[in-house]
Amino acid sequence: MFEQVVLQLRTILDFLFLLTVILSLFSIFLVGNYARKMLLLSVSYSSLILYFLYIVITKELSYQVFSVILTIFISFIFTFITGVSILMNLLKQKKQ
Amino acid sequence: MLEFCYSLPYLLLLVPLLTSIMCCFFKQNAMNFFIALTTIVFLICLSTYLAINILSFGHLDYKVNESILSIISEYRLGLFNIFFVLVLLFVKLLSLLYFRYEIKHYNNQRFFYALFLINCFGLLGILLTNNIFNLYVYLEIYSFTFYALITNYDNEQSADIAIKYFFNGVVGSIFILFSLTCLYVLFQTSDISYIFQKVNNVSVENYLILSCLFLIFVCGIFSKFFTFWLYLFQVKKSKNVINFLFITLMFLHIFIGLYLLIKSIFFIFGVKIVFGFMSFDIVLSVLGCIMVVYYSYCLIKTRNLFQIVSYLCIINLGFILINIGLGNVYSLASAFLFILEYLSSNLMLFIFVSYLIYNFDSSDINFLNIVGNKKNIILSLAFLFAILAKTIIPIGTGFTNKLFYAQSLGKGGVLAGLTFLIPMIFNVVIIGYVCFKFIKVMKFSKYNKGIYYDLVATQNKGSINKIYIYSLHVLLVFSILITVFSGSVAELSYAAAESIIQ
Repeated sequence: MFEQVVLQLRTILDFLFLLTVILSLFSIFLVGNYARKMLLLSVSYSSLILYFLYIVITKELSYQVFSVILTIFISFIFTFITGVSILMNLLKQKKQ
Repeated sequence: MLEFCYSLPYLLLLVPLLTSIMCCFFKQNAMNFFIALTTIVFLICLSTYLAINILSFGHLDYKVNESILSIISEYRLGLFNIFFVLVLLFVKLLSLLYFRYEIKHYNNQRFFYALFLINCFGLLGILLTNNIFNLYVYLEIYSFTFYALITNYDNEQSADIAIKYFFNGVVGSIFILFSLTCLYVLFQTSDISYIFQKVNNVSVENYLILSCLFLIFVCGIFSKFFTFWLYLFQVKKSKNVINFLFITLMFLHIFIGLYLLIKSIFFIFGVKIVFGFMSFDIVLSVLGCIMVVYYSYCLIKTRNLFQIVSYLCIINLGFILINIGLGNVYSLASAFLFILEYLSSNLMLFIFVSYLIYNFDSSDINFLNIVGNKKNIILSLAFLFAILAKTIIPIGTGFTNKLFYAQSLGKGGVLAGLTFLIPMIFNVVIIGYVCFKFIKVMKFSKYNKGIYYDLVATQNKGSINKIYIYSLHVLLVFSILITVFSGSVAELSYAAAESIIQ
């Protein structure tokens, strides 16, 4: 009984993670505001990283995968910083 | 001797990384330019030496350790990879020479060459690596430096394009990451060769999952590398944006996109799933046909040279997609030759149009009047060379690629027949018509020579003009070399195609 509940929960979690990634990803093209786009992008990226972590824990993959997750996380931070700096640059250019 | 060759690809990767660090320490632009130029020339020599060795000994592949992520864990260097490496380094060299004059429009000049070299490191990493996670990391390194390079320009439009490209690029990255992660979870390995072996032994029930992963990967590639065309037409009237940085990076983008498409079909997911189960060959062929036929039709209507050149590029891309879709040795050899044509004649036409836009603030077809002028002999030659290479006259790779394309008919069946006849007829007829239109404009242009000289007298952009002309010189020599050694070039591309099919 308990195992069945855990299994169902896992399926729901799988579904929720994927839904968050896909919905936020496609919403990027629908939203006009750049700041909102950045927010949706961060949600999508971070939920993908969480999903990857979740898969690693449930499938009991090699511990080396954590180095990959860390790299992806660092690249996410870099992406975010780059996006924000491009936005700032755009705003600065528009003011000039 | 061969042992020595095995460590050379690491040098190919590490040299631009180390020299980029060196560039951060020097404040003088001249010194940084010298370091960057020496690095690119050294890399070209190294890759030529490696290409000769690969031709003699076959492909090189090496694995250092069992870790799933490391900058220098494993690589695979065949004729296919080295072909792309050489093309990439050539474009990089050309763009570097141009930046010598373009750099004054930059905000952070000190870090420009460092970024340029890290961009080169990322690109070489993408072409050399044989590990899925390394591939992702190199893609990200390339993207960050690309964003930084285009945002640093001191104008609003480049920042606007950078932010649009950024969103598409990151969406593409998420798609690619998702697909690669699922591949790792399915096969428990990050080595591309092992994944390919395991994919070949997968049962038919799992084909659907792999097909979905392939589709997600291809969506990522298209979102990341092929969306530049969406912005290209928005900026066609902007003088500042039509600079060499955009042109070369756009060309590099298409190269890397095509490389990843070929890599994913023939080295990761396999022809059995992609062409056999998914019939993706039909999708590629139909897409290519539509691109060729539709943009050939668009060529008739426009009188804007920049649009004409953009359409010619898309037509070329369409032919490359058709040839990848046909998936036999001849068609792949033809695809490589189309890529070379893309580099030589299309880049030459782009530089020609950039020259017109820079000097006359217009890319109207009437300005072709300058082509007939004896003072601009290099401009005239480059333009005629590039446009004639588009026809079936044996100039550049324009003849040999169509010859291989026709030869692929024998192996491709009905699909090859249809994808050959429809776009080819359209293309030959319409390119012929466009050439006729050009000649007509050159002879009877409304701008007579007096007005032309007035226009030339008003220009005061000597240094930039020089570099346009130098770039055209380099490309012209490159195209003449390709024409003279067309037999060897065709043999090389056939050998590269054979290495993929094996």
